Amino acid sequence: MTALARARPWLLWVAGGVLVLALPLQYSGGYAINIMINTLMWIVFALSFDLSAGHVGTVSLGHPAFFGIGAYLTALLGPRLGLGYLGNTLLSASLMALLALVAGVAFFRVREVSFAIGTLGAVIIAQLIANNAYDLTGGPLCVKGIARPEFAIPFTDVTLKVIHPLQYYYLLVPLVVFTIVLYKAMTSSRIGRAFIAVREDEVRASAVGIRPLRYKLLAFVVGGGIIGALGSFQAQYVTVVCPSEIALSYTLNLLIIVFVGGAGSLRGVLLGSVIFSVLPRLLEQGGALSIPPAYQQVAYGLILILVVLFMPDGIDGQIRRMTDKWHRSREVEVGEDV
Amino acid sequence: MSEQRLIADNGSNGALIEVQGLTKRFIGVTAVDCVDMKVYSGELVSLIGPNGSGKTTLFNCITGFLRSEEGRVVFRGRDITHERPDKIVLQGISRTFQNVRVFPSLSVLDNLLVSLQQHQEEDLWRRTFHAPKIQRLEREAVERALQLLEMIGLTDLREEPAHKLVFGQRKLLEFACALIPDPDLVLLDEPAAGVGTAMVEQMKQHILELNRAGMTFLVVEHNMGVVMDISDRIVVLDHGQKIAEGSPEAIREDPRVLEAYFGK
Ligand SMILES: Nc1ncnc2c1ncn2[C@@H]1O[C@H](COP(=O)(O)OP(=O)(O)O)[C@@H](O)[C@H]1O
Ligand SMILES: [Mg+2]
Repeated sequence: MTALARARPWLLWVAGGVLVLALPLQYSGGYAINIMINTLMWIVFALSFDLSAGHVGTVSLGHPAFFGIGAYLTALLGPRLGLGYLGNTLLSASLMALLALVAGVAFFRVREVSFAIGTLGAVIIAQLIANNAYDLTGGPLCVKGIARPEFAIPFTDVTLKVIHPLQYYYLLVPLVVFTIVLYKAMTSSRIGRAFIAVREDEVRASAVGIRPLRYKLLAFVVGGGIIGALGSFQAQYVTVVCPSEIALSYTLNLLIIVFVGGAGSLRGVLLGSVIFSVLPRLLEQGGALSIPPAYQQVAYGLILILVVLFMPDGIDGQIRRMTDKWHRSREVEVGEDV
Repeated sequence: MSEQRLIADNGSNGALIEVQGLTKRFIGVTAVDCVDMKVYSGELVSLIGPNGSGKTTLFNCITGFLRSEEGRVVFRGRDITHERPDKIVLQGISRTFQNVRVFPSLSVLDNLLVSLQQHQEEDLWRRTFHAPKIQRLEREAVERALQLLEMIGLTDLREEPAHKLVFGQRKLLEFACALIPDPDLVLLDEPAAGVGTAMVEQMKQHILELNRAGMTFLVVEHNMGVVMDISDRIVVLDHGQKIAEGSPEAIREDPRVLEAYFGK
């Protein structure tokens, strides 16, 4: 392997980092930056979901509950506790991790299908509560006027108030980096190997000393915590939290991103998040591929069907097969030289 | 308390593992019916019996995959009845499955490594944050895995995903996975079934060599040639009950065994 080829993953990460940091500076309008914030949020959301769904093989339909409840926690407790951005985020994260632990212990007792249905039920109940507990959540009237993050700059009297989308964008970047680093660390270590073992054969995993429940919980709790933090960001970004934040449509989006992008693969989930955050906007009226509204859903559905039919292990699987083939053809060439 | 006392207290008289009055019922059938048996350290014991006589069920009860209704299992003087499978294997009882189980998408090498890692460290916190220690353990694990791959002749396939292996190779891999933690007791469920004669011979030689080096085996096997060649002692099950026990020579002549196998 040449030095360049060995350095390539690093170069890719550096290039990606520069892109993420510099791209929003190219756009002055809020619309484009909105899409970018949205994309970053889906990256965090989908990677957290994929820890369970792609690696351990436990597909929960309930992940939006962590997001919505995390947002409500910040909306309702934030003003009372006066914790600030970091405090709000950490509070939502730890309480949602705790919720994931409790829900996990309850739901992991049952097998795959019952698990999916059970978590689905949990989202529906959470949304019902958000809609009907007027005294607590304001019901469909939403919780409004959530404080925007403020940061006192050390050694000065200046306080920086986060207002512009661009500022929110850079406020979100650390959570994205944290999520990617944690995802990578967990899945490429011994823990990741145990995750795959549990996904492929729980009985066999037990026979080599792995306790499946432990690893299912680990992925679920870490994912739940991160999504809780993301919900807190959302509340402080849009400053309104409505029952629609605990939405099953989020589940659908997660499934599409992860399974079309490539379950259990960092590259696949990143690609899926970008594609399925940007694509719908391009198809919207005024977007680059603008088509009449009646056909938007059709186009979206068509893309999904095509990908599922012709790329059964997602876009990432397709890329992997192509690069494998390329490597093999090079091996043959080298072989003939000798 | 000395280990000697502990063993005496449990009444297992120095056996590595003792099964006492073990009973497992399924709806309409008593798969294991009040079975007593012992395996001593260093022994190679075979468990035989017609199809459906309860051999696999007995393995599943010993290793915690099934819950027995009556009786107990004492391993190294400790009662392990009803413990979880993952805890039992960490105490030193490895097993293979009759229907060969490996992790299909993990590489051959990773299949071995994942079979050892839980034995090396049990503290998740340490595993996440003591990176250098983990790297050392990982190097040791790879070294041990490569030795075993050399032994079973799969060194060249170490990077291949296990689903690409043919049946016999998968069987050898599962066997090596059972060996990698250097267990005190290995339970093999039909190690010679479904593979060619060359591989039967290879498997037999591996088992014999490891046994000579001190490893204890309890083997379920239908190939009588293999059973008679390798066993120190044979236990015979029929309809869940132990009907005979003894040396290969004695079992060969035993009328109850002949009846169980060939009918009246
Ligand atoms: N999980 C199960 N549920 C119901 N019956 C079972 C189960 N496993 C085994 N049995 C029954 O228990 C008996 C013993 O089976 P098994 O232990 O597999 O026999 P062997 O391994 O000696 O061929 C058979 O009658 C079998 O049908
Ligand atoms: Mg059997």
